[in-house]
Formats: sequence, structure tokens, C-alpha cells
Amino acid sequence: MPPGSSRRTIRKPKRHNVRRSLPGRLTIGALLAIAAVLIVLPVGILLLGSFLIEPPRALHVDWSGLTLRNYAEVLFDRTFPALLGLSLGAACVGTAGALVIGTGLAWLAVRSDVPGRRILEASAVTPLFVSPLIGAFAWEILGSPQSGILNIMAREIHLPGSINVYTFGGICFVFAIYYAPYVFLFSAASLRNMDPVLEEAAAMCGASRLRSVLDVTLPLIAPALVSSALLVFVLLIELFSIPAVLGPGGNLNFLSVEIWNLIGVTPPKVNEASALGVVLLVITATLVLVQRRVLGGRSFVTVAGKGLRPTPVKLGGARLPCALAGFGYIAVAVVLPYAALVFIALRKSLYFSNVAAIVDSRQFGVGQFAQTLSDPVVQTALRNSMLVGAGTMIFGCLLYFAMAYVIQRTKLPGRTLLDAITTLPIAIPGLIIGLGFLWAWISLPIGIYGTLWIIILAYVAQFSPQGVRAIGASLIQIHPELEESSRVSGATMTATLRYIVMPLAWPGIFSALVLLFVLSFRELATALFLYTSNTIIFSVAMFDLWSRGSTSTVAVMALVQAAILLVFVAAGQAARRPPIDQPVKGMP
Amino acid sequence: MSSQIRSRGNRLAALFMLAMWSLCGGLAGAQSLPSGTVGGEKIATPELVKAACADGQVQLYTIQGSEDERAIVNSFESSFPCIKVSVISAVGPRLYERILGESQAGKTQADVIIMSDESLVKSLIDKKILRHFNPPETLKYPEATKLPGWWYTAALSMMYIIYNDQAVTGSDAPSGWLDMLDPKWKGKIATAPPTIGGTAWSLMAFLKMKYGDSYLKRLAAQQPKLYTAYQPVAQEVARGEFPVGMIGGLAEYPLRVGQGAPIHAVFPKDGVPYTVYPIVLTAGSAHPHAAELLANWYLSKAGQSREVEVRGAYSARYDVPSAKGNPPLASLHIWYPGGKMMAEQHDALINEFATLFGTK
Amino acid sequence: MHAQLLHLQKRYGAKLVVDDVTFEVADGEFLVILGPSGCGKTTTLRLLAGLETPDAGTIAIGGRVMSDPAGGIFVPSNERSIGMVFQSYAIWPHLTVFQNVAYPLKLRHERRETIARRVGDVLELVGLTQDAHRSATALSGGQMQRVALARAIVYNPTLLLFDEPLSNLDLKLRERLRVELKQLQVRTGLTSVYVTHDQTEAVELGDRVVVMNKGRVIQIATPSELYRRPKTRFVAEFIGTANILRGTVDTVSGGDVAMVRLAGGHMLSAHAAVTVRAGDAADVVIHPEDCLLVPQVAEPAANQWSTRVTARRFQGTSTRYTVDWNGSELDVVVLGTAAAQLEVGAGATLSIAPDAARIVAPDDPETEAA
Repeated sequence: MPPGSSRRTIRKPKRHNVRRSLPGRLTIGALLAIAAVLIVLPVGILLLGSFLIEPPRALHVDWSGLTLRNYAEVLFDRTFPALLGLSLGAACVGTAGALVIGTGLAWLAVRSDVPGRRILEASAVTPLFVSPLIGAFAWEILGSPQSGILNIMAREIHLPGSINVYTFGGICFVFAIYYAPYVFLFSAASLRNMDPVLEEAAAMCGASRLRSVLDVTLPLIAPALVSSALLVFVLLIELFSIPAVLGPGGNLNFLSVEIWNLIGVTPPKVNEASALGVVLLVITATLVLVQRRVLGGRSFVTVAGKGLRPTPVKLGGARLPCALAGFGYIAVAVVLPYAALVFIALRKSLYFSNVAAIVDSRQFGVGQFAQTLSDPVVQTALRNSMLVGAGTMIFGCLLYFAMAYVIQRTKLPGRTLLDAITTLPIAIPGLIIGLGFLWAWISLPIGIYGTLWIIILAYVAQFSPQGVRAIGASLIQIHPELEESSRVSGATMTATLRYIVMPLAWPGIFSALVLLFVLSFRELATALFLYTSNTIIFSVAMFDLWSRGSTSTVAVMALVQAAILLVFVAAGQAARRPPIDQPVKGMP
Repeated sequence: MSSQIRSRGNRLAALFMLAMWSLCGGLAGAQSLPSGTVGGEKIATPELVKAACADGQVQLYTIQGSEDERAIVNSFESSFPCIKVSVISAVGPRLYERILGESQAGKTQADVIIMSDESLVKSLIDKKILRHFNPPETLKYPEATKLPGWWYTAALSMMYIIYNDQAVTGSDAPSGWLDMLDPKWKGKIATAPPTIGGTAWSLMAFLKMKYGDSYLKRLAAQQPKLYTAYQPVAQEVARGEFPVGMIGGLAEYPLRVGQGAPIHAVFPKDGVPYTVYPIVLTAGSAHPHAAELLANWYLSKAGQSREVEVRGAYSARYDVPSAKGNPPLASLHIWYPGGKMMAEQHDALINEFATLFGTK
Repeated sequence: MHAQLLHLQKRYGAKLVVDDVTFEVADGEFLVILGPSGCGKTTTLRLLAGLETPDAGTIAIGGRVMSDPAGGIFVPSNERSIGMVFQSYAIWPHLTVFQNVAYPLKLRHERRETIARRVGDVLELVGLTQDAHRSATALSGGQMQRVALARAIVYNPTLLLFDEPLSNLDLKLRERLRVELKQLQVRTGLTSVYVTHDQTEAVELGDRVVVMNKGRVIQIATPSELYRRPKTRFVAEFIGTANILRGTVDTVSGGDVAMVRLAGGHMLSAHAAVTVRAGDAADVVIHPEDCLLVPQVAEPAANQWSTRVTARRFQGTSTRYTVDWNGSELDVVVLGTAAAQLEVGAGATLSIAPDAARIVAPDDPETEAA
């Protein structure tokens, strides 16, 4: 027998712990139930409604009315092919444009020695704050064929031709410039994480700069590009605001707007709208599934690496043109639109037909600001949007944290299902979520219909992909052994969460909070079915006022939104704790 | 004897006191209740007013913009301070959808509804969501502006022609519906298809009735730009994107008169079609008396004047003057398809339009 | 405190990563679990720690059952009162050194003075007193490892576990920390279980070594026994580099001595770790250090053979020769820098120490340790 070991009998087992992790199972059960009610139920009701004659309002389902007629009406309608073709086509071209701009910008900002590189990198995502709705408004002001400011100026200096934003090309252009930042984020992250030795190896083999970019860099970031392209395509095809603002002027009918229109005709064709919504959902869901395949199920997150920064590629003579191109994009996407909005906001009369009328200083005044800010509807809308933003932020993050933690850090059964459900809303257009929520929640005794709560819940459902991913990304960075060592040291799950996980995850959670506020403030389509005149929110008020021709008010509101979001994001940056790898000021 | 006199005197005094007391009490009671007569017109019995004040509030669902509606009902509230009006505003079909949803959930919230489409109202009647309504002003409303016992129009929305007076001058300006077929306006007309609601449908029905089937065909050949509402039509004409428009007046009035936009309105002599905004009462409402009072007020001269003033609409009542900048009602040849025509020809006209113009 | 693992089993999906593992750790013993990557040693350690749940088998620490799926018992990690040093150190970056080490005491609601005293004591033990209030991220790898150790022992655990703690450090640091670790364990007398894939570490640190492969325990023995008497080919190859020569058993003498005919036809006397009969195929293990190589001697003695040098590798403190021994290839290590330099292609005389050759069991089927 080996020395030092003595055979001792094992004491009769004391029934110490028969727990089968019951709290764990309760948690995941609760989370799955919440996810089902928030996400699956509205979509399910919508799906069901598309097969019925009478819409399932208040969850009253008239089973005798099961029919395929709605789909027949929608799919065999004479205008359907054009509708589908236009929506798909514009999404394609818009995505292509976003790819080119986003990737080019990312490469310039991360890998080249273009002057002002850091500013470029920091400002490349600012178009995301503009919000597609405001971008569409601004480009309408700039680019209407007759009375757009740019066209008036062009006519004045006798430039041939004009830009018409009410065309396929115009809409694709606006798509591309406001969705390029998504591509930028993905490509920049991928480029930053690239190991420089790979390009160096190509150089050693004799590849020129251009060749090594084409042969090495591009293939390596291809997964990021494909993934972001799919994401942008899905977002574009379900987008409501830009097609709603710019489509009518050119008689261009988009799928997403058509759903809204169907409910706006007399009598409202609600069931056809839901059938069309399901068609859209099928397209987006397929693409999202493809995107998950490409990523292999991982979420594409930026890992803050301490990796070596590769030496910047010298652009040489191309430095200045590239800088112009890069900053030109920022100017076109952000500066120009806001300049137009400021211009409109300061004008007393909106009717100008030549440059002289534009620069007529008598036409300027700040009265519009005062009037708009004292307008009770605007004030109500602003207050409501702040409340909704706060509610979405707080409840959303609580829920998303619980979900992200369960998905990533536990081995509880059912977490893959939870992960799948939380990704679903990316594929669900906001209009659909809104309509589904309306039908599903109106009869529940909880009585949230007609209050801000239904909007908050719809938003929490809609932004769960972004929220869970963002918080998940910060959890991933925490090595599991940090939690395990806490447990071994004697901490319960709660203590570990409180002392170890939360402090380490906090910067990521904070960023998620800011992100959620921005997303909820911008959102339009989801709330269109859920608001009442008491719970009108800022974006809906802007849209409504725009459609009634109150352009000046809309311009002022757009500026107010920009100011609020700017303040919020800046405050968020300032309030962040110092990064973990800086020495903590300690006691002697 | 003196004691008898004193006691009778006491009794008289007591009676007098009692009389004074009840008179004061009566007066006090009368003062706390508003008068059922507004602007010289009796719109409600004292019992109705009392019951309405007891209700204390009323929920109005309306297709008019909430700002405008608020401005109108504030006048009501100043006449009847004991009643608070809440306003929920949404576009016709969506308001309709909401009402249906609430009704199915058993949670009907509206007490009074102002709708934009007779056909939608008929549907509500059929679904037993509405109740009978007989205001005192019923005779003031011509036949084509009411469905007796059910609804009366809270406003008339006229359809006519507008043009941008900076882009179109003098003799070029259109003067009637037939001018719209002039080749010089090809590709330069902004309007909306009949699917957007009763206003547009009335317009197209009028044009077909007045000028025959060929009118719509020739109008289609003009390739007008079709919008999903009249507001963008007004806006685009005001901005000069399109020189002319065929439009519902309520969309263009705020720009023309309110903002001083360079729009000129043309009310064709051949005829001006209109559509109605029925005001109705809901069945099983929580505040039925306040609802009735509000609706009566709305149809009174005071209420109609306010509607005209705020929105630039027309009242069906000839004793209510038209809005600033609009010609008097009596000077117009107005035309309305009527419920029967709408019911019979609604889908047919929509399909015909869709076929001719190649749209939905 | 002693610990017992009986018939432990753990599956990941269809794969059996821990297969019927049984061993004991005596009170105060330093037990090392050694094996290649994927052999199940880390999983076994984690089962002991309570970070994983076994599918079958019993774990008892100090006589108290910690885990027994059949009996529905599972004590979670935070209640097992064990200390663990992780491979990644797992030092919490948002806390100082002091706070890291004090954490377990804080959880146990100790008083501030007690915490300060105990933390001070262990920090002194690991030599980090002056760094107590530095941020944890400002430390070097070696310092972090010491913090991890301090944290693991500050609350007097019954058992101390190590999951390849030194594998991320460079060679010199590893060697130094090894020595310190062993000294510390002797001083504190804490029962320790240490997992590693490095055999040098295992033989230097362990009182006993459990050799694992493919989820099973192959042999449990003291380091010298493992070295001298490996039971299977796998153990022999894993502990140090060994020459393994194929041959056939010729005759079997008394006890466990056998004459083996090697491939080249020459005969060798070897000890048998397993029962063999004449005619059996046999794997013979000869350690390179147990051989001697000198320039060609004219008349080889009984345990000497003529060979020819085919390769020579200078390894700093020793020289490693590969010789052709009648068709069999053999490595011989000659210590010392001033060793006779034999040229490649030269003849050399090979001496093998008596008792140096052992016949071991083939690797399949694997047998359990006694």
C-alpha cells in the first residue's frame, strides 16, 4: 500500500445538499417566460392574424375564419412584384454603398496614415446619432428636385443637372450614408484585431501594398464584412422612416411603408398588413439565420486587445485625397444635414425659390425655437421620450444582464433557446412588434395599453439583441476563473455577482445603458401603433408634424434631439470609471 | 292678543326667511350649474347640464389634430367648467382600428367620436358600438350632412384646386376641374388617390359623375403625383415642387392662411365636392350625459364657429360664416356622394382608379 | 485533512473524460496528478473542488462526503472549505493585493483586526508584504501567483488545490517558485493536490504522483518508484525520456528476471514488471542515464556491447548520443561537459547498469493502479 495513506471508512453520508440547483431552474424558467411573452407572443399573434379574416384583437381568435386569402391578396396583387423588387433592390444597393463607405473608412482610420486619423476614427460613428428619420428630413430639405437648397444653389451657379432625393438612387444614397457606420464598426474591429505578421509575411513574399491588401487583409476581414453586410441588409429592408419620408415624392412604394399604409386606408386592411408583415419577417428571419451561420454562432464583439498595432500603411500622394474622401463623408452625413436643419429652424418663411431668398437676412429669427419649445405637444413628447428612454434603459439592462449571464455563465438547460429568442427581434420590423404588441396586450387586465409602459415593453423586446449582446460582450471579457476563484473562496452566487462580476462588467453595462437610451429615443416605427396623444413620443411627434407640413417645428425638434443625445453620450463618457488597468489610488 | 300677534309675526318672519333661504339656495344652485344656452342658442336642458356636470369628464376620440381639437374644446370647457375633456387623436382608419380593438376587449373608452368617413361610421353602427343621437340643432343641418338619429357632421371638408402663385401667374392659373386636363400640367399635378379616405374618394366620384368616365382616364394620362395624404400635397405645392394640386381644403388652409404660404385656392364653379366629419356617441359610454352635451355644443353655432376659426373648415350650417380667406358657403356649388352611392360604388371606383393610374 | 476519490466518472456529451478514477490523499501529503493534455487531470481537480459535478462516484474530504450523485449529495464549492490556485491566477483586477487576499475572510465576516492580521501573516509568508496596497494589475506573473497562493491559504482550508499554476511562467521563475511552493507546503502541512503536465515538476514536488492518461489512472507511486519501476510503456515514456526496445522473452529465471532477445539478436537481462513467459513479446525500458558510453573497448565484458555512434547532441550540461546497437537504436546521456567526445560514426562501448532494464506492460489495455 502506498505510504502515507490510510484506509478510512467513509462516514455515513449526511444528507447535506440535495439541491438540483432549483433557484437556477426557476431563474431560467422565469427568463424564458418573459422572453416568450415579450417577443414570441406578439409575433405569434401576428402570424396567427395573417391567417384569419378578422384580426385577433384583444386575443379574440375567430377560428372559423382561418384562411389563406390575406396572403393571396398580398402576393398576387399586381403591384407586389414591384413592391418586393424595389425593397430588395434598394436594400441591396444601399448595403453595397454602406460596405464600400464603411470598409474604406475603417481601413483609412485604422490602417493608414491619413491625416487626422484619430478624429476620423472617433467621428465615423456619428452618423448613427443622426437617426435615419432626421437624416431623411434633412436630405429632403437639401435634395428635393425643385426646392431643395442644394438644387437652388446649383441652379444659381448654372450647374447642369440636379439631385433628386425622391428617386431610387437618392434613397439608396441616404440608406448608404446612414448605415455605413455599422459596417465601419465591424470592419474596424476586425482590422484592429488582425495580427500584423500576416501582412508582413505577404510583404516578405514580395507582395506590393495593394496586393497584400487584396490578398491578405480583405480575405481576413471577409467574415466581418459578410456579417455586417447581412445585418445592414436586414436593417434596411425593415426600415420604415427613410422610405416613409422620401418614398412618396417619387411614387416609390416600399414593403415596410406599405404595411403602415394598408392600415391607413379606409376601411383599414389590417389582416393584409399582417400578411405582408409576415412576408417581410420571412425575408429578414432567413437572412438573420444565414448571418448566424456565417459567424458560427459567435457574436462579433470587439475584444479590447493589448495586441500590437500594425504599422500604418503610408499613403504617400494619396494622403490628401483620402482625407478629403473620409472627412467628406462625415460632412455629407452629419454636417450638411444639420446645417440645413439649423437653417430651416432659423427661418421665418420656408418658401424660397432662389439664392437671394435663401440668404435674405430679414427672413431669419429665433422665434421658431421659442414657439416649438413652448408647444405643449412637443413638451409632452419630449417628456415622454425621456421617460421611455429611462424605463427602457433600466428595465432593459436588468433583464438583459440576467439573460446574458444565464446564457454565458451558467450551464442551465434551455439557455440556447433563450439565446435564440433574444436574437429574434433583429429580424422583426418595428412596425410588426408594435402591431403584435397592440393585439396581444390590449385586453390584458394589467392595463398597460394606452400608457408609456406598453411602449417601454415593446422597446425592451425590440432591443434585446443589442442589449444582450452588448452586456454579453463585457461578460465575456471576465475570465470564468475569476468567478470560480470567488466561489472557491467561499462566496455564494449573489456575493460573486456583487463583488466580482458587477464591478468588472460595469463599464460594459454602462455603455449598454447609453446605447439603449439612444436607440429608444430614435425609434419610430414600433411606437406608431402604440402611442396615443397622451403618450406621444418625440420621434412620432416629429413624423406627425412633418406629415402635416410643420417643417420648421420638425427642424427645431431635430436639433433638440441632437443636443439631448450629445449631452447624454458625453455625460456617459465622462462618468465612466477609469479603465481597470490604471493603478488604483491606494492607501499607504 | 299681543302674544298671538307676536307668534304670527314670528311665523311670517320664519316663512319669509324660509322663502329667502330657498330662493338664495335656488339661486346658488342655479349659479353653480352652467347655462344650457350658449351664444343665444339652447343646446341642453338643465337636467342634461346637471347630469353632465355630475359626469365631470368626457373622452373625445377625434380624427382632427390634437392641437386643433384642444383649441376647440377649450371653448367648450370655458362654457362648461365643470366638465373636463380628454382628447385622443389619430388618423381615421387607425382611430377606427383602435375603437374596434377597445370594443372587442370590452374596454371602450371613447364617449364621443369625430370620424372622417361615413362608411367607417356605418360599420361602427352595424357593430353596435354607437347609440342614437338627437341634438337640438338637427334642423340646422341639411339632408346631405347627417344621418338623422345617428350622426351629424362636425365640419365639411371641401375639395378644390390650389396652385403656387409664385410659379403660376395670371392667365396661366387654372380655374376649374377641366383645366387639370390641359397638357401643360402633365406631370405637374399633385394629389392623392381615393384610397386615402372619404375626402379623396368624394373628389374622384364627383369628377366621374360630373364629367363622365373619360375624365379619370384623361387625368391618369396627366400622370399626377399621388401622395398618401393631402398634407404633403399642400406642402409640395407651397414649396414649388409642384405648381398645382387637387386637394382637400383642411390640409392647405394652415399653410395658406396660417403660414402665409404662396398658395392660391380655386373653388371651381362647376362644383366643389365635400366630405363629412360625423360626430357620434358611443353605446355604453362611461359619461353619457357629458358626451351628449359636448356633441350638442359641437353642433351649435358657438361650437361650429370655433371649428371654422381653428381649422379653416366649413360648417354645414349656413348661419355660421366661413373662415377668413374662404368664400362663403352659399357661393359654392357643393356636392356630396351620399351614403348610398358610397356603399354601392366604393370598391368599384377604387379598383377603377387603381387600374387607370396603375397604383394600389 | 485527507481526501478520497472513489470511482469518479464524468462525461462531456458522449466523451468520458474521467473514467473510474480512484485515489486517496493522505493528511499533509503533497499529491501530484500528472498526465498529458486532455487526460482528465484538470477535470478531476475541478470535481474535487466542486466546480464540476461528477456523473458517478464519491468524493470525501476529511471524512465528509462532498459529492455522491447516487445519494443525491452535492456540496457546492463555496462550502467545501478548500483553497485553489488557478492556472490564470484569477486575481481580481479591480482590487488591491490586500483586498484580494482579504476577500475570503470578508465573506466569512471576520473582524477587521483579524483580517488585517491574517492577511499580513500570509503576505509575509509569500514575501509580498510591501506590495499589499498595490493594484492587482500592477504585478508581475510571479507576484500574481503568490497572491493567488496567499488568498488560497489565508482562511486555513482543509485542502489546497493547484491547477497547473506555473505553466505560464518562464523557466527560471518556474524553478524558483517550485522550490518555494514545496517549502511552504511543508511548513504549513496543508494537504495539497497539484495538477501538471510537466514531469520534472511532478517528480520534484510530489510525495506521490498519480499518472493519468485518457481519463484513467495508470499508476500511483512515489516519484522514484515511477521512475525505476514504471508499470506501462506510457508511464515509462512520460517520466523522463526512455528508450523502449522491442524484443522477445527468451527465458525466465527466478523472481521477475528474464532474458530478452532484442531485435538485433543480442540478449539482455531485464526485470519484469508484469508476468511474462518465454516467447512473449516484450517492451524493454532503458533510461539513457542508466547507460554508459566509452570509446571502443577491444574486449567487451558481460554487460557491455560494441556499438557505433550515429548522432550526437550537445545539451549543455550533458551530451546525448544515439548509437546503433546491433540494429536497435538507443539514446545514451553522458553527463558533464568534460565527457569524452565521441565522434559520429566512431565505435563505442555501451555499458548498461544491472537492474536498469525493465520489461513493462504494453499500453493497452490500461490497468488500474493498486
